[in-house]
Amino acid sequence: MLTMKGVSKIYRTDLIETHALRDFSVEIRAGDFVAVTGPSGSGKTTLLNIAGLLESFNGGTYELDGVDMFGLDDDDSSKIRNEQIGFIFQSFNLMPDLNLFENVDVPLRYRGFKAAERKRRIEESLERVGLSGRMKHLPSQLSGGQQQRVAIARALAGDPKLLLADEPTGNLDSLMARQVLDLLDDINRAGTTIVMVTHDDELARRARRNVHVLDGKVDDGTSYHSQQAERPIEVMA
Amino acid sequence: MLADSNIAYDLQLALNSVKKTPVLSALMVAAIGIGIGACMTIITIFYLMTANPNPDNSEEIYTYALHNHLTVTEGQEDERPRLMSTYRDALYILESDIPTDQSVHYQSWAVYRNSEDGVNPFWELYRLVTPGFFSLFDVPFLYGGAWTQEQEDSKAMVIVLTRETNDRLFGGENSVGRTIEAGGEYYEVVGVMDHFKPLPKYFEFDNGFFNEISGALVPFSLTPVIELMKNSGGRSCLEMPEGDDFQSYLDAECHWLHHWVRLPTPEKREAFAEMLDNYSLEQRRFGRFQGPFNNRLFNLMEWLEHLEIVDGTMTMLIGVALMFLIVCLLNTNALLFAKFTGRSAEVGLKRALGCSKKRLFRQHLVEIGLVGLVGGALGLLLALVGLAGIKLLLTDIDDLADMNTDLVIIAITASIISTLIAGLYPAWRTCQIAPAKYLKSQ
Repeated sequence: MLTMKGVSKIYRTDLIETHALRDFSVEIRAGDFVAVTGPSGSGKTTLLNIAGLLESFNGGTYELDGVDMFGLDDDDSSKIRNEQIGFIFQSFNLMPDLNLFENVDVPLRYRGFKAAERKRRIEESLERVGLSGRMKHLPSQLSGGQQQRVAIARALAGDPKLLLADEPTGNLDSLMARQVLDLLDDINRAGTTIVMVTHDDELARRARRNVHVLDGKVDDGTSYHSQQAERPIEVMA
Repeated sequence: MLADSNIAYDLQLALNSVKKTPVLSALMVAAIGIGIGACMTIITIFYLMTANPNPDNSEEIYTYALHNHLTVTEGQEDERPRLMSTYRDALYILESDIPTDQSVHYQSWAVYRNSEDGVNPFWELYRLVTPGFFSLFDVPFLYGGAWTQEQEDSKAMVIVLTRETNDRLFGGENSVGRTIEAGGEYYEVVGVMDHFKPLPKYFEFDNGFFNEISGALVPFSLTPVIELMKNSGGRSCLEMPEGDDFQSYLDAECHWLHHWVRLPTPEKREAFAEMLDNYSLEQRRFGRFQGPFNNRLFNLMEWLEHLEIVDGTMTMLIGVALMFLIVCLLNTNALLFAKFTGRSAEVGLKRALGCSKKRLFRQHLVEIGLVGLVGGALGLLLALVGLAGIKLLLTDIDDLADMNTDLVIIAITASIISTLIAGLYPAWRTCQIAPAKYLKSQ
């Protein structure tokens, strides 16, 4: 599903070079639920951004579903992001002036679906996160947990193969966090591959696999299989 | 429910954006509106001043300037020929069969009165013309028509009224065949003109280019009969009339007549120019004309250029108005930068959700176009206010200060295009942001 081999990412300024990822390799199979852990600045979010084609990388190879992601032009990478990848962010990132229906509609618009198809998908995905009765509400009328569920509905509406979540419960209290995690579990069980960046060990244990990142590399010593792991993660760094 | 087409969706997003930042949007619309309003006020005047007032005939109709100086002043040998004709010269040229139509004309004043009831007499302009006037200048008729060449030659007491004069004398009824009194003479009405106000009023240059033509027209051949002198506009005499009578005035070296001819082919034009030169040579031989040999022929557009109706002040005003528009657009550019910079997080999110740079750029252009459209509408309103102000100040250009459909389209198009130009760079910059940078910060 997702294969990175020797991927490097360097941020350059006039004075310094920062190696966010160094010779980073990982393989994630279809249906995995992988938690990416590591201290701040270790390269977790960079990994997620590269996986989501939000950033380019300097070296190595990255294949998504067998297709090389290096050097894609903007149109192609946008299309892949839109059709194959869903994003969930820590701060939900909903558009405050659009209601729930319209928020979920945004990526479907870029997909070019007709109105009836969009409506069906929006209703289904909001139903799936338990918010079908609040389609006309604005995000500001919802709790944090509900907002994150809308963001999940938005990510799911396009039926992505890969869901990338960056600290999805970081802004939620424990009850709401648990609800969101339960939802992610359900989504994963339904077949969607999830890669989740988190600082939270308890959260990481809910994933099927863990990748611990340290100084831009997979930290072999601290990588472990979670209690729920069914298959070993293939770490090639 | 959102509209289904991409453009409709972009338009809806643009409307949302405008609602979200009403003050910034209002400032942009105001900046564009003021710039477009100022430009359109000046350009409307310029456009109408420079428009071809007789497009169907402009390539065929000519007026001439005969170099008919009687003496040569030292140092002024290159003095330009006179733009008006003497009665004597005009009559000679009228005899020529080279032009297919000719119009000699001048303007005077008379008291008009409906001879049937005789009440409410009024002063009004009065023009003596040859019948060629009507065809050369494409005069439209509401009732009846022009008098014939036979009526002209026989000095028939006939008259053509303007629509306005007919309204005053006959309440707008068809007055053909009825009689009016003008300047103490009785005329039979043969025609009533429809609205006729070419702008600029090119067929004479000494009564203002933008005011009314005359209340009525009568045959030029009546000049020595009714003895009505030219009472308005220019008249210059190189020698004073020998006597006090009207015939002495007609015989004098006084330039007061406008003379236009139709020369439909280059051969006719050449032949007519040659005829003018021959006439000048002949007059020279008689000892009448002196000085350089410098006759001129102008077609309509050459004539307007020669008269410099659009002077340097107007050109300068257009320059100032365009500069002002540029300043307004620079302000709009800065405001768009401020607005688009504030939405980096939203742009980052849209990019993450699969919006390409091209599509995002298009969305921004739709929004900029919308601002341009509203700014253009405001500009039109301000231009109308500006033109109303100019009407108050300069009554001469009353009819000029009106916008037509062309100008409305030009204003809106110019507004949208100039706003798009002002917004291209801010929109492009916004689409270049790295989305990842802003997704954490929302």
